[in-house]
Amino acid sequence: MQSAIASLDLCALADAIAHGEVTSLDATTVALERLDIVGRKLNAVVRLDDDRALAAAEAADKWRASGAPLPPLHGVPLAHKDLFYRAGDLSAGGAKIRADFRADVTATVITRLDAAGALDLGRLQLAEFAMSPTGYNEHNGHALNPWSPAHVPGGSSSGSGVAVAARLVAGSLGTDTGGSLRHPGAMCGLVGLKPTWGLVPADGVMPLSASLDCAGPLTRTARDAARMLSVIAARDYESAIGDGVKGLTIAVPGGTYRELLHPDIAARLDAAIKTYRALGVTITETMPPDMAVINALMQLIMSVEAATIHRRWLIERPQDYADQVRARIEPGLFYPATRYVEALSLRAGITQEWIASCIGHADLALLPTIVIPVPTIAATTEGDPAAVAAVIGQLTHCTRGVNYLGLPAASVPCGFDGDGLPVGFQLVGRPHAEALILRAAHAYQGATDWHHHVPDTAELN
Amino acid sequence: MNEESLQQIAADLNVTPGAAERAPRMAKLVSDTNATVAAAALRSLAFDSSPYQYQAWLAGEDER
Repeated sequence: MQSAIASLDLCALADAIAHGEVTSLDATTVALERLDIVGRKLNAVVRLDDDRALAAAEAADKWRASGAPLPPLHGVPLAHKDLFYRAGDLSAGGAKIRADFRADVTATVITRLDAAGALDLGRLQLAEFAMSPTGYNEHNGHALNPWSPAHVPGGSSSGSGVAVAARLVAGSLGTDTGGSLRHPGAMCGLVGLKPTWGLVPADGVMPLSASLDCAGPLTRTARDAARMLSVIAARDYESAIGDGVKGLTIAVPGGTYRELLHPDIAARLDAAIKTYRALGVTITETMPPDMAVINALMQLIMSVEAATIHRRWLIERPQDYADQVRARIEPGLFYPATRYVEALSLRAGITQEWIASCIGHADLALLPTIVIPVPTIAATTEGDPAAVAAVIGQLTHCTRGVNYLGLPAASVPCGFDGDGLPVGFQLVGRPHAEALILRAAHAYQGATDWHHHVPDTAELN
Repeated sequence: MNEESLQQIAADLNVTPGAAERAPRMAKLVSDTNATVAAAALRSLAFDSSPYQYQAWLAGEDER
């Protein structure tokens, strides 16, 4: 029974509970056991609230038995990145400095998931202060990629990616400031959706950079992402997801987005484009503007906003930051205030320019999520610091600029590299084009089976 | 931007002495990023611009 329940994706599990085929208590018991055994083996788990979750599951089953109407995630067990606050609970944000921090508020997104009937099993591993595309956490150790424990899972929402890919929970909330939902999405073989900036409430979520931070879902399927986004954004993203893509146009920007592309990744992207053509999509080629400017703008805003909220601890507790993390924050101490205001003031114009150049008359743009195969933990932590920095820079090459633009984007699994690690492509849309992105991702998943592949470490076979 | 200037900004303006000691390793990134953004602003930023323009534009896009 455990394998059968763990194999269900989010919508299938919600439907099974709603139809009485699976009880919430069974689903929750399975998820807690798997998080405790498999999840801890992969270092994905920070904290589980067994007693509270089991009591909530029993209450959910009683509610269903009463015949009352059921909300969309009724009785479905979830666990989230350890930066979503629940009043009274610990919320460390992956940081030694915050190890004893107890939130006095509950995040609006958590309140909305509660109201939608979801159960909150606990919190999952992340990069220190949500500041690493690999998931690097010097204090808590590395979360391990379920497809190969020697490789990084992607971050900063590392535990969320690991837990969903290893079938421990069917969905998880994460955040994305420079790619932190799309990186674990691509590296763990999941859909990682970064919504339009401002669409999903960010209150009660540990900040990194207020102008760039976005909360969103990590799930196995686009439909699951639509279900979770509908709840946390309080809008409907699910009802038109099956409308298909025939007649749509997808732009494939060249230039900088293709320059560093590894052949394995290029082959998977080309195959994805071929699949879209077969589904009736017109493909056009476009050319991006100067991404060096956009990446500089993003770097400046992120480091200034992070340095602003971290300055007190940089003075009082500098030794409690990993050096790699402190090195990302501290440049923000040095920029003139005029540069910061310029970076914000240029944002609308540069975003419109990017849309005109990269999407043009098309409906969406298709980019790589990550231009290189998933790196090993060693390649991102050991040896020549310049080589390590180069690898880390390549991981965010196609993602961080999108956060400055504030556009919605999703990483969608599209196969595996030569070492058997997942590859993803990224769909980027105009502001508030989440429904279109999810529709296109859903159509692709209907024509492929990459999202059905299960890593051996999930221990389902 | 020379390293001494950065160290002074960290130590005197931000009161982060540890960061001042580490300023040399950030000098090139800060200098390059500052120059890139400053040049982009000189090229494209209109006088009647605002850091709040982006939120207004996004809200307008949402209504469409």
